[in-house]
Amino acid sequence: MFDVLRMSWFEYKKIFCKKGIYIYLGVFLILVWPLISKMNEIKNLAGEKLQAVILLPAVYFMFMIFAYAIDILLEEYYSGTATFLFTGKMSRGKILFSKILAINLLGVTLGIINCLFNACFKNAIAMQNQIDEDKLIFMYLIFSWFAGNYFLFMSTIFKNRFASFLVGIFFLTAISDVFAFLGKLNLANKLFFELNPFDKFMESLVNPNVSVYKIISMIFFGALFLFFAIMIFNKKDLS
Amino acid sequence: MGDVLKVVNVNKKFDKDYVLRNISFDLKEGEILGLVGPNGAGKTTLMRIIVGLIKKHGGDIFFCVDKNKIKRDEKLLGCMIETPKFYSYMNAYQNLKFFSGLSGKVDRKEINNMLSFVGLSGETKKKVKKYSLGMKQRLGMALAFLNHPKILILDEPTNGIDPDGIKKIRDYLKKLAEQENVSVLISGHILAEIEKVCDRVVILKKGKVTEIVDMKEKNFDDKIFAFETDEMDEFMDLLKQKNIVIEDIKNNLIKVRLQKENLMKFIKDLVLKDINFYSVYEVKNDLEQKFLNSTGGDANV
Repeated sequence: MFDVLRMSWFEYKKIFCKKGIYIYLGVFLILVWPLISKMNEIKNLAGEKLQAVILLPAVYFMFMIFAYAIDILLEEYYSGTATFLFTGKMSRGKILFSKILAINLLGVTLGIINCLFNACFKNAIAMQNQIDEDKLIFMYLIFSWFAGNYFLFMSTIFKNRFASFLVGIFFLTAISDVFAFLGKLNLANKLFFELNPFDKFMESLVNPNVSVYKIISMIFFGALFLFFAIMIFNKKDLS
Repeated sequence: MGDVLKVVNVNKKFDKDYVLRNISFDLKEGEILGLVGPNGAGKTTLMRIIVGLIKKHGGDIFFCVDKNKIKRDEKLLGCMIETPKFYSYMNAYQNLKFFSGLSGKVDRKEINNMLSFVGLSGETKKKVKKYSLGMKQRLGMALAFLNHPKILILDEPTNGIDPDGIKKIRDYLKKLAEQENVSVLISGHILAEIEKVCDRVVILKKGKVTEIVDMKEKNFDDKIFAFETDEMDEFMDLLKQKNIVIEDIKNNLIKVRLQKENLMKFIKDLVLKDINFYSVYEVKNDLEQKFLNSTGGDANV
């Protein structure tokens, strides 16, 4: 287990060796700078404005997690480093697991950045008791586990960044829509929705007050996607 | 010397075409085994199967350490398949540290020693994307040698490396095999290099093993000479009298095996017996010749 943890730390550090992460965070800063520069003026946010402020980092970081979860394995194919990576002593399964742990670490880092961003608007947001910061970081961890494993699973199937992203997003939204439709028809009870990780899981970064059932189901389905990703990847030829 | 690697009836086909057919050989402890063949013979595919990059194949690959068969994941394998690729945004040290983590330990001193050995100690801070092909190849060798592997799988390891570097690597491989009992499977295009370093050589052609040459048994002091003559019968009689080994007869060309110092004596005998011949020349009797005979004269190794 120690070697998996060490590899995940190495993988996490690898993310910060690349320019990409700084470009992503730079673009984020450019996007939020107009808000931060005026934060002294913003005392009471409410309604749609408040939602927009809370939503911006959540949506942005959610797509970052998707992108990194896809890229963390496919990068090895594109750069040709798979030859060294998958001929070492460590099994393919352990390597995938260490990669997903690195995505979790990235998720927690983004959660912390999100909290720092929210702290800038503490007066406006805290007064309305909208965000619990501890829960938000925890939800980033759970979200990155579930979404990370889901997109890792997609990348083991398609071996292509674009296809993995598009198909992954398509199925996520399609499954969410199906459940929303079922809900409207009263064909499923509330517990069913709570146990379904796809139902409104994207909103967990905006509103971290999700039920224990939802958290358990996200952990379980995340593990299931990882299991299938390892099963598929273990049988693949890397040529 | 026990076997550390056994390749048993390995088959591989891409779509409907077989690229490897019933490949079997073994690699002994402390042995350097060469793998040569024309382009497309299946050398790299076979190496990819051995190191576990290709999973779907027929036959078996067994790794044996201390007479016990072990799982692939437990193997102590160092390898370099084709041109090594690294994380271009990291420097040499960072790359070696990352990959050595896969083998279970990161020894800073060993990484620095290995970088120094391959002549990259002055380039450790430079990002790999700025490296030349030869430097990447050297870094690949450093990675393969790191963490004391028991088996080394090297696919064309000296590509792009200067002659001084090639000699250094050759001497190091011999030292590893002789002193530390490391077994090496090496493929390459420079047959003279393979000949210098290998104990045995497996020759592949169109996915099949055509010959396994034992370089120790092979007597390369004997030379092969070709004589062109019209008086075949008389020539053959003389060869029988002198107990000279005939290698090949084609039309009016006879190839015989002789030591170089006996050639003049044999020519004198031919003159004394009044046997006419038009020409005599030496035919190469080295791995290259063996390779050409075995592969039917394919020029591309």
